Amino acid sequence: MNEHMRSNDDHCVFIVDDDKSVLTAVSRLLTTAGYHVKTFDSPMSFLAEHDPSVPGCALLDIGMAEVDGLALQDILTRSDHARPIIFITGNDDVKTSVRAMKAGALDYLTKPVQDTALLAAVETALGADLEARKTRNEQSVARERFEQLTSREREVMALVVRGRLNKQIAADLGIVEKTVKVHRARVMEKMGVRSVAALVHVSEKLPVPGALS
Amino acid sequence: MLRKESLLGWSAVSDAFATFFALSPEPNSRATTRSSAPREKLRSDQKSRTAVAPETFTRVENSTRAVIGVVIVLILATGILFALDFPVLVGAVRASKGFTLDWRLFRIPAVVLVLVLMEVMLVATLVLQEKRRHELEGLLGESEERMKIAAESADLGLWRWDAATDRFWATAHCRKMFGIPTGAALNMAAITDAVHPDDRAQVTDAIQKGVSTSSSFEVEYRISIGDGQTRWVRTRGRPFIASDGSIARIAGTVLDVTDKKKMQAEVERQQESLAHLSRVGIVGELSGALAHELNQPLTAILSNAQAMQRMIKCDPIDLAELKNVITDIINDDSRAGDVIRHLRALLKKDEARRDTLDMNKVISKALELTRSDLTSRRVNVVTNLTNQALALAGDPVQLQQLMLNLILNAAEAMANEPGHAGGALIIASDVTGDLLHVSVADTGPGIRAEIMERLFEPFFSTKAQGLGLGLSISKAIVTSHGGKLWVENNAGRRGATFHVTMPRIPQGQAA
Repeated sequence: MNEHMRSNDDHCVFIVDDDKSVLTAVSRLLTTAGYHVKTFDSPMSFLAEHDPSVPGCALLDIGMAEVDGLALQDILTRSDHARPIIFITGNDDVKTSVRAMKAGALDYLTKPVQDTALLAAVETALGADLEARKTRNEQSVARERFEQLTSREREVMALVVRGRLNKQIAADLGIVEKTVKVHRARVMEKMGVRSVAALVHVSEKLPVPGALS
Repeated sequence: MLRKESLLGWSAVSDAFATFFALSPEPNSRATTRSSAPREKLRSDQKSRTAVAPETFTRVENSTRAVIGVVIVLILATGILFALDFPVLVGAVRASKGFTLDWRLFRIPAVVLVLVLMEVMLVATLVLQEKRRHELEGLLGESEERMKIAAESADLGLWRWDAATDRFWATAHCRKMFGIPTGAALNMAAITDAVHPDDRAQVTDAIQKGVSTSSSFEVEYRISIGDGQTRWVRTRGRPFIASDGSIARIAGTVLDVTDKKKMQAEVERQQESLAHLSRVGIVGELSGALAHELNQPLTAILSNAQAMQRMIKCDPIDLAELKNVITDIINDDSRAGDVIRHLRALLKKDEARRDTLDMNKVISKALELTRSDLTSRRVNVVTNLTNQALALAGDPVQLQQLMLNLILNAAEAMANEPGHAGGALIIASDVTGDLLHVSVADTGPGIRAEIMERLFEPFFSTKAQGLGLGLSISKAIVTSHGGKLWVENNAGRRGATFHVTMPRIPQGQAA
């Protein structure tokens, strides 16, 4: 595929398949297409060895001994190691595919898989991972900043985000409007935003919405 | 004195007769057409003699000949005495005065009279004996006739072979079976000629074994009769050993079993098509697994080929890697070919073969084929196969079918159980004496006592969609390999174990 399309070179496609010849062939195809690839011939070795901090996607075979692809997906999504998953399967079984997609799989390809379909799926998955990582990054920044606020500032912020005017906030909290303005300026500064709209946007990234109420 | 002489004469005559008849190749036409069984009874108290001579006379015949001898001698003696004495008597009568004769003159005529009386008595005895003999013969003939009719209606031929003369006596039905005309000579060579060339060694072996152990033998073989026709016959024989230990004769029966064989072949053919049907069923059951097995190499081939397309666009081209890719493609292609070949073998309707196989390999291949099926059912496979060679002469497809049946059966037994998804399938093999033993154990619910007996019956199934043929065909396969298949519930733990034992080819003899 178009190698120039990839915005980030810092990625890896983790391929898990207990059939060694398929594993070799698919990794060869992805390597020639310019992707970084890491192969695992069993779900266990993947779980034990793969580095979750490396961006990228997972390409999982569904029918594997030990732990099948769906079980591996379950383990990955329950842990903090979530990354986009593409399934490859020999059995085009509707029930399994629905289960996989519902559990958040990015794509479900049947063997033998065409390179165009595979590379498109990988590209999408890498993009999704990048996006997810960016979001996760923003979330953690927002959380860090939010944690610097005092409890009064958090109260003021919650009310501002809800669209209350300074006068109303002063009445709500039983303080003078001038004090509200000071708190509000501090909130804007600490959260690194300049407008109320930006503050609302950042507040949405906070992991615990309840923290604002 | 004369009496003594005549007695001597009788024994000489009867001995001569006895010797003559005993050595005569065919004592008389009556004797040859007579079956041995009723004669056997008649002779039973003369066993010591009859055991030596194969064609000895009956008691009746014996005494008749003796009496004839005595009568001949007596008549001769009477004649001579009378001839000598007649002139003396006539002279004496003429010389006598009146009726006063010297009684001493009548001593010789008195002896002659006594002799004549004896002769009359003996002839009367002879006539009576002859009558008795006729009666007995009539009885004999009747019972022989009855026996022959019974034998013929049972398609049974009767025969007897005399070692000294190499002659066969056989019923007409027996001759007909062997395609030998009534007049033609019947000896061992003629019979051997009629036996199908491929079966001759087997027949000779059976006879020799029977003779050497002096016990009854039975052998089934083909006979080629005119116009290229072949019939299957079964011969039973009993050797009779002479007192010097040599073979005296062999008597027995021969039965035409062609129709039975045909029927047997038909049953086998039907069983084969049934086995084929059930293999088709297995293929259906395994279709997912087979698709997977086929998809794997196809996937690898496609990805490798498409990778190659990209590689040849690079500059410079990595030729070493390109070679690797080509090798991989070739290997994957033959792997796909194997799957298809196997599938075709299972679907093909073939006659049973006997190849030298390794049962462990058959087991491994069956596990390979069912692997993805077992995986999707979450069945854990434990194998405990012996390192010893498990060579046997068998049909590769049928044995494969057997193992697939047992494995899938175990997997299904475990899947049918609510709340016990998955389970363990334990396959073990070992050697006990001349037998190889394979066991397939599951951790399912086990088999209820009431269905245990019916488990191997055809069309008996506990599954909603089961045809009920798998286990009955498995049993037929094992039986046709000279083995046994049985099942028992596991002692002390859940589930059941199927056991197979089959005769193995001992190490060293395997080709």
